[in-house]
Amino acid sequence: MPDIVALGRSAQQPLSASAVVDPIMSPIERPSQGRAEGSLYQPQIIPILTGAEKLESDLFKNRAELKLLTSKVAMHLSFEQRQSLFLSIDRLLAAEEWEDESYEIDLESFQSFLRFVIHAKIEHMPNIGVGPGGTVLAGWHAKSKSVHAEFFPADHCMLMIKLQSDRGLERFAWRGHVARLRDVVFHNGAIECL
Amino acid sequence: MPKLNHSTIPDENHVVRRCGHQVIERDLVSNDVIGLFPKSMQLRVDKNEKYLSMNLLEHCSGSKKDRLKAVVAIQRSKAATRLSLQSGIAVIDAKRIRKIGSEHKRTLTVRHTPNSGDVSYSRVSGLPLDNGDELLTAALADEAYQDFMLLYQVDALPE
Repeated sequence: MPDIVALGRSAQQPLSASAVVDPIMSPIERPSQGRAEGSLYQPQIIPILTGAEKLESDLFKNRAELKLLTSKVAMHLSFEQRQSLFLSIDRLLAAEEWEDESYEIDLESFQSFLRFVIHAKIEHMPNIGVGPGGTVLAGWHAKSKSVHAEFFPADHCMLMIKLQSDRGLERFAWRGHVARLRDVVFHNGAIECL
Repeated sequence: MPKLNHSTIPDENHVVRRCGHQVIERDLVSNDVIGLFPKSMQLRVDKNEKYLSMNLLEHCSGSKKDRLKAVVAIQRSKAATRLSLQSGIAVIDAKRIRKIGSEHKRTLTVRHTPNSGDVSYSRVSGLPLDNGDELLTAALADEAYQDFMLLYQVDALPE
């Protein structure tokens, strides 16, 4: 007695109950195979977060995205630079300090900032803040000089230099592409800040 | 409720500006507060702001520390959520604001504009609505930092 019997086999030949039926057509999935009708996956319960839980979840996501962006260019940053960035991210996006007027950090603005840090090969990492809309604020200080920059999406930035010279207080403001930022700081006598 | 009177704040009076923790500049290593980012004195364009919100210090009674505590209490009562103890307040005198404005060819008006929710509410108007004058806002932020305290420091002031 064969173990495998084709479905189209003649009816005269007896079939053993133990024989395995050889399907002519490939098996198709029936909707009721122990699952909810029409669903290929087990049902999942997705909690809808509100209030403090949602805030913590949103901030966690923002922190993770920023650190992921940083890790993608980690080979261009020193350990100390990465560590200071991560510390600043954690401080600025801490749920326990969050207020109505706080902003998540905009990913594109952060990319512009990272591009500047890598392109300019800065020696000192800046003090970091967050502006309205999530722009990245950066500040450097050296003796009687300071440099403040705001980084916008698409590699745009705004720069402010303050110098205390023998002739008195001098301030400069400039807007442009991050690729020019180091040159502008250098030519205005504040490169030691970076 | 009848509209409360608006008035120009005299030169010798002071206004208090609230600064969120994200616009306070902290040293990367020591975490000490070392200044205010110029953004702290700019209008929030995304919220269509046309003036800087302030509180009139002299509207509150008592010593300076009593007044500071009173202003913080007002700010807390208005906030939808708790205020961070790492945020702060800056005190600026009205005369300096006007002088900084004139140094940058701007007429800044400092007015007491009380409302039902905040009788000390004041505003500084005359800043460019597009924040196009970065030197002006940087000068205002520098001035604001001269008399600046974090909220936990204000809370810790003796009664």
